[in-house]
Amino acid sequence: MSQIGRATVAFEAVPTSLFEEFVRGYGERAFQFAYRICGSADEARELVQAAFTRLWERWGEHDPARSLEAWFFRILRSVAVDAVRRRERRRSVSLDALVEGGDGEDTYADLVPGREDALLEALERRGRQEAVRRALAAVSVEHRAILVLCDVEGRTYEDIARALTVPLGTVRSRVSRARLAFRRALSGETEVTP
Amino acid sequence: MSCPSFETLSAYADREASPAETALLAAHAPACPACSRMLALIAAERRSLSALPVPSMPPDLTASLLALTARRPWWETLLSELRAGFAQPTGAVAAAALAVVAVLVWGRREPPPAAVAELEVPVEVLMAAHRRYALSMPLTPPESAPPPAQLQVAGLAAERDVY
Ligand SMILES: [Zn+2]
Repeated sequence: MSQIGRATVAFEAVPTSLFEEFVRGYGERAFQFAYRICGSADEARELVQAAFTRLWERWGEHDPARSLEAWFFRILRSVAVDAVRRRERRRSVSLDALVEGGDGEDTYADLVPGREDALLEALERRGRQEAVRRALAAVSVEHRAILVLCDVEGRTYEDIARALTVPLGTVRSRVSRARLAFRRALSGETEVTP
Repeated sequence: MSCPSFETLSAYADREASPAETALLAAHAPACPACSRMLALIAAERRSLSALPVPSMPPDLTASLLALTARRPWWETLLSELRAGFAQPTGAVAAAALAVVAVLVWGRREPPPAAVAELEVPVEVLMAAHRRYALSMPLTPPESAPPPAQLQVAGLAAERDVY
């Protein structure tokens, strides 16, 4: 024999349509970001799928007072960077490790001295895309993520600080170090002579 | 003025330098070949990164993301189980043996509930749902956020069916 219960269940309707709207509004941007970070359409697909899955699983945790977009891109960035870092871990000497050590007051004079003109010229030439792509792939995934956020997506430091959950001053120094790392890699790729 | 650090120049190129730095650099950079070159290089690097081709998102990925909503969160599952319990024929025994109020509280915010359902449910169904709910809770709540929801049993009274 069964006992019978009376249950009063109060619940908030789950805004499924908002999620769908978000997928349509931000899916493409998420895919582009992931692709730029990992360099492969197949891996980008997996990363985007993983990030949206995590978003949906935590849908009920979202505080509507905060930006859903910022929250999602924080998830996406951490999913992408973690995955790519795991894949790339075996790469022992990355070019940017050389720059990574000197934090803060790098004067650019001691970085690729005398190469700015040659680099500038190389960048302006046609057909440099492959060198740029390889240089981007050569820097650490953290540098890559910040270059994409800052230079490609044109996000403000405040935006990036929110996505990385770090202070504004940290974003500023990370952006400059990412640029230096990229420049070093590019200078290797374009093989300009001093 | 001597040339600023690369970090300051980089922030200036992003229009993110402080007002004081911006004023100094606006006066210094145009007349300084080194700083002008550096700013031109930052701009060229930005252009070259933005110009890298990116494939479009595969349409079937969009479909697969939209399909995620078919995987319902646990509170919806709980609710549907309660409803399923309600739907079972219960005969004359529905003498309101048990009253349970389950309130789902979302994080810190407690908005007025969007819907209230009053259901008569076999205890087994409630217990099964509760067990599943308990198992789905993280053992340690994340530091930054409170647990996603709390299930509060506000009132509970039970009486054995005498048939
Ligand atoms: Zn200068």
